Formats: sequence, structure tokens, C-alpha cells
Amino acid sequence: MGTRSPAALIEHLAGLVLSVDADATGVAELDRGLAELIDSLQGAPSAQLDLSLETRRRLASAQPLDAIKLVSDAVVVLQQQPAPAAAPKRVVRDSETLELVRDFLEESGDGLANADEMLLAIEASAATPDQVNALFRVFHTIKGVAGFLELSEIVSLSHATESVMNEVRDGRCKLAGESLELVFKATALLRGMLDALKKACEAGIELASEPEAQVHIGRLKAFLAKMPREEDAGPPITAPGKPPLVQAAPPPAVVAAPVVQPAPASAVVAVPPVAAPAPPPAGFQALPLAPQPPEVAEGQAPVAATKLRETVKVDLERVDNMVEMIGELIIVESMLKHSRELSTQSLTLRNALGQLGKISRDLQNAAMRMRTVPVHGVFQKMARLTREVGKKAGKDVVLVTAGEGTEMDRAMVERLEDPLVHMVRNACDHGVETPEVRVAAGKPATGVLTLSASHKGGSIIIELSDDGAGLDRDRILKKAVEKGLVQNPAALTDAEVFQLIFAPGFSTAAKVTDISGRGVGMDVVKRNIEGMRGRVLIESTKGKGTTFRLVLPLTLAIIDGMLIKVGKERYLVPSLSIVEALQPTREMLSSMGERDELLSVRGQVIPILRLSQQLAIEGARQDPTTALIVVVESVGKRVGLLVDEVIAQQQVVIKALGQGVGRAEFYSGAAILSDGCIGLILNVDKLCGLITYRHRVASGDAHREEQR
Amino acid sequence: MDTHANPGAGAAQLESLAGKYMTFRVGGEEYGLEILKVRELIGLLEITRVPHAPQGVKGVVNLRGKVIPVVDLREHLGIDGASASARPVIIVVQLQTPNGPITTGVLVDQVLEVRNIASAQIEPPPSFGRGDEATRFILGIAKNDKRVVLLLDIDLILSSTNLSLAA
Repeated sequence: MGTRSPAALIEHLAGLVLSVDADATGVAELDRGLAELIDSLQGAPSAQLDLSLETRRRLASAQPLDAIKLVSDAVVVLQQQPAPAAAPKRVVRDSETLELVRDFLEESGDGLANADEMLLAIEASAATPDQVNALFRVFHTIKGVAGFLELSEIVSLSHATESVMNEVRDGRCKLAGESLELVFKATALLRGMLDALKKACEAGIELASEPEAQVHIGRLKAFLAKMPREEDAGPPITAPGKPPLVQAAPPPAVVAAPVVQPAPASAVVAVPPVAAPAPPPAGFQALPLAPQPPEVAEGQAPVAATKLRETVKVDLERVDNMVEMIGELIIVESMLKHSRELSTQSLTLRNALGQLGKISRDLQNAAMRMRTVPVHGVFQKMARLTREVGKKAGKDVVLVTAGEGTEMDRAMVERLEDPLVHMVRNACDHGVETPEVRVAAGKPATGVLTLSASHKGGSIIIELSDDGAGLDRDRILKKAVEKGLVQNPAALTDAEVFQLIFAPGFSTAAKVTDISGRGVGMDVVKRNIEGMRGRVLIESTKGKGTTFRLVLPLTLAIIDGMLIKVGKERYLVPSLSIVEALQPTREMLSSMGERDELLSVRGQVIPILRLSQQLAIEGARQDPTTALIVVVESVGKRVGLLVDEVIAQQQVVIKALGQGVGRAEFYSGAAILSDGCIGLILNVDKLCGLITYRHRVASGDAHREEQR
Repeated sequence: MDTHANPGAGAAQLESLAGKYMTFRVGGEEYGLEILKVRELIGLLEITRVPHAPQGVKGVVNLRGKVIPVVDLREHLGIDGASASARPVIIVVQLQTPNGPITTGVLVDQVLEVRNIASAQIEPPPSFGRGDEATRFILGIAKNDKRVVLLLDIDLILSSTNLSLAA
């Protein structure tokens, strides 16, 4: 066989589908064909590869008759997916091109984000000429630079979108309903293509074509064809295909698509748009949180404001370096202040030191702020997501945001996106009821999600509320009892009951929809937030709605830790995971098979982990009654860490342990202590995980461990 | 597999070894490290042990706020006993890898000098035919003034301790 191209193998497979018999031999032949195809696609993740793997997996369990149908369906799809995905050609881009692409990605990303924002505003109220012009410019700019970079597909798509905007600008159509939908979709596609471009550049391969883009270009052109044209006398359907697209004419096969496309495209979008332009004023005024007039005024103000604010683009690494150095400065400053030699000296010296302290702290704040970005961007994505998910679920949902200007650590904003997506999806899908149900319950037909951000104390609070059905305490409890998660249902507070939806396995879609319609991916949300050292709180009133409150630390760079000592070594335990520290009495201790020690505190039995043993530390205290036990908690599991002493609680700057020290899985990082030495930060999750494991296999492992 | 220490590797490879070296002492032997890879020397800081770290990694130190690993050459070179040096030094080396530069400390007993070593002075390391651990880290042997300097393959040493070179 040798090296046949994927395309040839797909052809071969298509032939097989027609020729093989519906029996075991036939299935085996199909399987072989698929295997070859998978081989040839290997190494380049693509939709084709995914589909082939999936098909082969399903083929294994299919009846011969179904098998042929299965493969032939797959072949049809495979044939439609164009070749580039299958064989990514390596492309060498010189550094200058990469620089240009990077700038292009950045600018276009900003532009599209702006466009999204404007489109959402336009959807809520009518478009202003300024907005239309701004949108036009966004696509125009993208087209211009993409043309320069020879990204023909992006050029065609932005060109077609620009043409639609042009029609709007010249007053030949309104930006509402179908046209708005088309432009919306175009921004989504462009964003996807920009992502693909970024990945292609990073991997040094050719940019794959995006089939959906061609289809959408067809739709846009079909839309344009319907526009009245003074200067153009040509037949409406072919006209838009020719004149404007000289620089990047799509392949002829695609030109055929628009002819087929218009009907379904307009059919899809026809339903919501008809209702959209008229009702918004009424719908919006009915909502408590969406005052219509100010929003229109604000819609323009931020645009002007962002134009005025000048920014400098700085390499993130430089900023990080500076933040790191300032962190060091703070440490040295505190070493100076606490040094014995200086404390007895003159008042002037102490004053100067005080000044120094203040300035370095200001400097640290300033540096930290350089790392922060407003949550605005993520919130905007959520607005978009709400719109899409709501539409898919057949619900009328709007997202109202507040406090978008709240700034957070850049890394956290990125990590926040995933959990928010899950939460917004859940809220749209399960939280908010269908319009009919809502009206029957005496609520406005349009559901409102409120996403807000604010600073409170030393934390950042992100809240997502919906005005939907709320969580059903009784049904959650019933399910939890069934699953054996809860013994004494009556004793639980509402908050404790709601926390149950985060239990892993509690959240698989089917089961949870039975209970409350909540919880898909909720354990993911919780894990993500806890990974950022935050917490998730839930409030819910049946019939009124649910509020998820994320409480997050201001930055990921600093951690509040408890410094402990074992033998001669010092370690940091994150304060957030510490439940208590105590010196046990003899009565509190018991053991299991002589090896596994247990601590009883207030009726709870907690396994003890000897840090000295786990980390091979010499010279640690062996008798728990003369040492200390720090009880830590992770994912609901409690473990008592046996340590010599607890030294102090302190805030430290987290540093990556970096490479070169192996897997180092028991540490989540390192920190510079006040004396300049390094303290390792213990990874409580891993340590707790260890105990659970030992716990489970304890019976089988006990004597093996004893033999050692 | 060992392409570095092959006695028949020819003059070209030894030729490429010529250049400036920082020499230092570990145990009773004198070693050389290509000067371009040395970033700085620091006096011994307190090294924090990292439990479960790979063999040969002594721990981590605070290099002006950066946490860098420190490698103990004794373990790699099969030199027995603890350092008896009164003034141990950490040589900070920076290596270029496909994943960006990495910085590592190398613990030695005493730093000697920076020396120019000509290709004529370099000989391939002999093989003692016992699959020797230590000699595979030696690129070549340089002799002058009756002294012998063993030229270290620091990249190989660091990648053998699972630094990102191998990753």
C-alpha cells in the first residue's frame, strides 16, 4: 500500500462501501480501510481524523448491515471536508511575516471584540451611524491587512461582510434581523479563523481552509444579491460573485453554494429577527436591571473613551520580570527593617526606612496593576454565548453585565473563562425557563442573566444570577440520598444542599436534568475555581432564580501560607486549605494495622500523614503528642499532617519551581522566605490524594508495607 | 550511542572543542566548562532540599528572586565523599534549549581560572570499557603545564537529570 494520500484512501473507502458484502468479512475490510485512513491522517489533528476514529470505534460494535451505512455516512462527510486539514503543509514563515501576523491577530482580535460589543448593543437598540461606520472599519481593516498577508479566505469573508455593512451604511438595508445575524456569524467565523491562523503559525504549517467560511460567504452574497442596486444591471444572483471579489475569487465549486444556500439561511434566521426589532423597548423596560436609555448613552461613551486612552504594548515576560523583582525588593526591604542592627539607630533612619517601605509597596501595587486586565473581554464573550445558547435552547435570554471595569490578574481572567462558559450554559439551558413557562409563572418572557464583578475586601466577587426556576432542594436531596452522599438529609442547610451539585458524578447531564436541571460540568467549575484558590457559593430561591457567587483572590501571584517546620526543613501550607492545627493527646490517636495512624477530633476520624516519612526528612519528631498536627482539607477529604511546629503565617510570592527538579508533584511552587531562603509550598491536593489512595488499598497493602 | 566520547570521532570534533573554558575543581580533579555557557558565579547560598528530586539534584536556591535548581557534580562524576572545600561555589550556567533558555546552578568545590584551550591540546577521553558512567560526561581531555583538564559535557549532565533539554 505504501503511502497513499488521505484523499485517495477516502475514495478507496467509498469504493469499499459499494462493493463489500454485509457480513463479517465486509466489516473487516471496511475496518482495514478505515485503519489505513487513520494512519495516513495521523499526526495532524483534524476533523477528518476525529471522525475516522469515531467511525472505527462505532464500527467495532455495529451489525454488518448498519456497518456499511455507518461507513458510507462517514465517507460522505469525509469527502466534503477539504483536503488541507488532512495534509497540513509545512510552511516556513520568516520572522518579519510572523511579526506582521502577530500584529494582525492582535488588532483584528481587538476589532472583533469591539464589533461584538457593538452588535450586541445594536441588537438591543437600533444602530447609530457611528456604530455602522465603526463596524465597517473593523471589517475593512481586517480585509486590508489580510490581503497584504495573502490570507485569501479571510479577505473574502471580511470583504463580503464589509459589503453588507456598506449596504447598511448607504441606507439600502437596516442592520437588524437577517443582516445582523449574518454579520454576527461572520465575526464568529473570523475569530475562529484567526485562532486557526495563530495555531498554524505556531505549528509552522499552512493555514487550513475553513469550509464554513465559504458557506457563509455564499450566504452573505445571497443576501447582497437581494439588495436593490442602482449601478449594477447584471442578474442579481451572479452579480455579487464577480466584481468585488477580483483579488480573492473563491473556487468555482463554492460559487454554486450560495444558490442553494439562501433559502435555508434566511429560514433559520427569519424567526427571531421578525420579533426582534419591535419588542426590545417593551421587553427591556420591563426588566428591573436593564434601564434602556442609559445603555444607549453608554453604548457610545466607552467607544470614545477607549480611543482616547493610549496604551503601550509590552512583552508580558518583561512585566512579569519586573513584578518579580519588585517582590524581591519588598523582601529585602522587610529584611532591612527587621534587622537588629538598624532598629536601635536614629529616628531619621527609621523614618527613611518607613518611607522606603511605603514606596516599595506602592511600587508593588503599580506593578501588580500592570498584570491586571478588566474582566470586560470575558464578560462580552459571555453575552455572546448567552445569545447563542439561548437561541439554541429556544429561550429568550439576555445577559446584563455590571462592573466590567473590575480588574483582575490577567492569568485569572483567562482561567475564569471556562467555568463561566459552563455556568452561563447551565443558566441558559436549565436555569431559565422557556418563554411559555415563564409567562405562565407570571414572569416576563425574556429571562435575564446578570453577570457582575466587584472588589470586596481582599477578594474579587464574580456573580452570575438568573431569574429562572431556582434549584430544587428536595430533588437534589433525594438524589443525593440515593447515591449515598448524604446520611442525614434533614440536618443540611440550603447552602450545604446546593454544594452537592458540585459532587463529581452528580453532574452527568441526564441524572441532573432529572433532579433540578442543573449541574452539567459543575464539578469542572468548582475545580477550576478552587484551582485559583477561590470558592463557589450558591444562593437559590425556588421559582425566583439562582445566584452563583465566585469568590476569588486578587492575584494568583501571592499566597497566604502557614510556615511549618519538620526536622530542619521548612515548608509552606496554603492557609486556605488549613482547617485547624492541634497537639493531639494520647486518647485522640489510634492506628490501623500498626501502620496507618488515625486522629479522632470531635467524632471525626482523620488519617494522619507523616510529612517526615513522605518527604524523607531526617530528625523530625516522631511522637505525635509532642509534635503538632495540621489538619488540611482538599476536595472534601481531610488529612492530618504531622509536623514539628508551626512557625508563622505569612504572605509569599509564588514562584514556579521550574524544571530540573523532576516531577516534584508534592509541591505547587516555591517561595522566598523572609530570610532569603526558599520554602517549598506543599500541594495539599496531592498529599490528600495520596492518603485516599492508601486508604482504599490499605487492606491489601498493609502487610506489604510491614514487610519493608 | 555515545557520539561524544568516541575515540575515533576525528579531529573535526576535537577542533570544535577549542576555546575558552572556566576551570574548577571537584574532588581531586580539574574540570572545564565552556565559558559561553557560564552566566555568573555565586558564593554558596543555603540550598533548599527538594524531596523526591532526581539523583544529582542538590536542591534549589534563590538567585535574586528566581528559583533555580542546583546540580551536584559529585554524583554525576562518581566522586565519593562530601565536599571538603571551605569555599564551595555555584556556577550558574545558562543553556539554550528549544524551549527557551534554562538556568541551573552547578555546585563545585573551587573555581580556578578562565583558560584558553587550543585544539592541539585536546585529546579524546579514553574508554575504560566498563560502560563507565563518569566518562560519558567528558567531551575531551586537555593537557597543558603538566595539568589535565577534563572538559565537561554540561548539556548531557543536565539533560540526564531530567532538565528540560530532554523534554
